[in-house]
Amino acid sequence: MAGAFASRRLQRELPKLQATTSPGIKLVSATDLQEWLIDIQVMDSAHPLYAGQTYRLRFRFSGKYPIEAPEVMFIRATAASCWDQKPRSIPMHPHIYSNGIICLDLLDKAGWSPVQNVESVSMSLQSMLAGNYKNERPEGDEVFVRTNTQRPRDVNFEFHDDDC
Amino acid sequence: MPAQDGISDPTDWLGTPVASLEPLEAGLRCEICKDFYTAPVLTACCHTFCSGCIRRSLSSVNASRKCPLCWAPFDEGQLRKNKIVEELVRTFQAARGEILALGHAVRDDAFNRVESGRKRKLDEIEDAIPLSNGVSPRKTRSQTQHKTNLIQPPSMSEKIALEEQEEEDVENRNEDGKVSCPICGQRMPEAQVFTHLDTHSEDKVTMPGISNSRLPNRTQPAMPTMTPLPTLSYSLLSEMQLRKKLRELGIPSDGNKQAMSRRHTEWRNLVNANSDSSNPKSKPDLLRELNNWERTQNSTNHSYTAKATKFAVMDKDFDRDNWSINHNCDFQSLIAAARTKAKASSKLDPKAPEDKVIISNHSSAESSEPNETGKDPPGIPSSSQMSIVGLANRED
Ligand SMILES: [Zn+2]
Ligand SMILES: [Zn+2]
Ligand SMILES: [Zn+2]
Repeated sequence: MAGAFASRRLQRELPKLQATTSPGIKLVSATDLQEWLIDIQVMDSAHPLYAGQTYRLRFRFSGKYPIEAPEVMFIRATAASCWDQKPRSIPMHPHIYSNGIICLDLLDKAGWSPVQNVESVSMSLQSMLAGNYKNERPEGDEVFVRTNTQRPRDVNFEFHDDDC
Repeated sequence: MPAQDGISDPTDWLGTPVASLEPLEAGLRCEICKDFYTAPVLTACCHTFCSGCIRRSLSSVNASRKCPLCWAPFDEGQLRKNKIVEELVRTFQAARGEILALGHAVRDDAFNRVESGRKRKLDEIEDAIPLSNGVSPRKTRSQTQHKTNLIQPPSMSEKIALEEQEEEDVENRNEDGKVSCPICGQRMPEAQVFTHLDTHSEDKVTMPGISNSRLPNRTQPAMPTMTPLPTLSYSLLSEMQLRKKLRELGIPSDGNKQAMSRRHTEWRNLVNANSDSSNPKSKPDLLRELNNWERTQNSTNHSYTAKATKFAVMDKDFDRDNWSINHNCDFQSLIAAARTKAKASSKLDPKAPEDKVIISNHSSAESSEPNETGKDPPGIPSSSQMSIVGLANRED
């Protein structure tokens, strides 16, 4: 009943997320109970890197969610496809690869907890951006982006000691 | 295993005169499935989850035998039934519909009184106009009474609720710094609770204050609970030995070794969670659940997507407030559709009410494989800070 388990949990989250009062988190699309798109903004209007920017997260759920972590990454989008007519890019961050793959322990197999949900993950990513002032990509970004053929959740990162 | 309570939610209480029940209901729900606890168990760190939820979490390839809430490490063997929570959930669920209806009735009643009061007041004024030579004092008084009646019922009940809440807060305060045993209620220093819990022999426990006669719905297990199953070291068993083991357990024994290991893990979770329930299911029921689980492991995801496309929310011209208004009914209908489906299918097969609303995972086979360290993509300098390592290397 793993599939029913996941669908039940997601059907619980959906109306809440739709009515969410968390500032800077917007449900953009929930076409089905397998892939949701969320737009996030850093609420600090003076932030040197992210002020005024909106970034798009793609959540993919397996039938074992929430026992298993969702696959979460940043994705690009053209201006025409967005509600505010602004394009979505991949935020510059020492733990976000230029292909959108995120190195965050709570999304990793060992760091995930089934008590997390879409909103809590979105908020974690929001604060991960808010706390960063380095205008840089992870070390080895170019090589990783060129060679990685694994899905985000199958990549095993060694987590950095700092703010990751 | 989630309880069958539709898509009820603690927020159902908000907007009723008993909105203070929202946190109470939230406390009776499992943090993993967000449903009311089913066969709740207490972990070594004193957190409570559904037996099935925490066992699944512990046995998933991702889990590292830690509490999902506080990350305290513990073993499945340390799980203890949380009987009082199970009773609370059962009695709360039994009363939930009634209290909610009452809450709605009080709210609607107050609203109606305001409306009819307003109307009557207008009538009285109109009546009074022809008799302008003197409005009787009686009438005036009845008007004032009306006025107070309008305001009093809701505010009075609110006041009482508040006072009661304050009283409860005082009662619950732990002046002695001790905690109560979740099973017998005896007060003791927190550190002693776990050793004390072990002294309870599961079957002889009687709960003070909750006698069976006061619980009309309580049904004693009709059959002896299946004994909890131990873990198997799948890597130490040959395919043939494992197949034999499954046959002995009376569960399907087809498929390769990996499929059989997964099936055994699920069966063990079902049986062991069932043994934590006060109303254990029969083996045929559990076999049916295992069968349902098996189907979600193999099927593809066509079933849902076809239905779901009509709920697509295109992000063009996205405006949050309008979107909330315009699409709220979409979500309502999504929920309504799911409910109807659950109802319809439960008529056909009461044991498999959720089959039709399943989201299946076409990649479940690969995802449940233990991660192998040998799969590192080429070209990553191992000296780099971002080196790719196996799970075992991660200590924090
Ligand atoms: Zn649960
Ligand atoms: Zn805990
Ligand atoms: Zn006790």
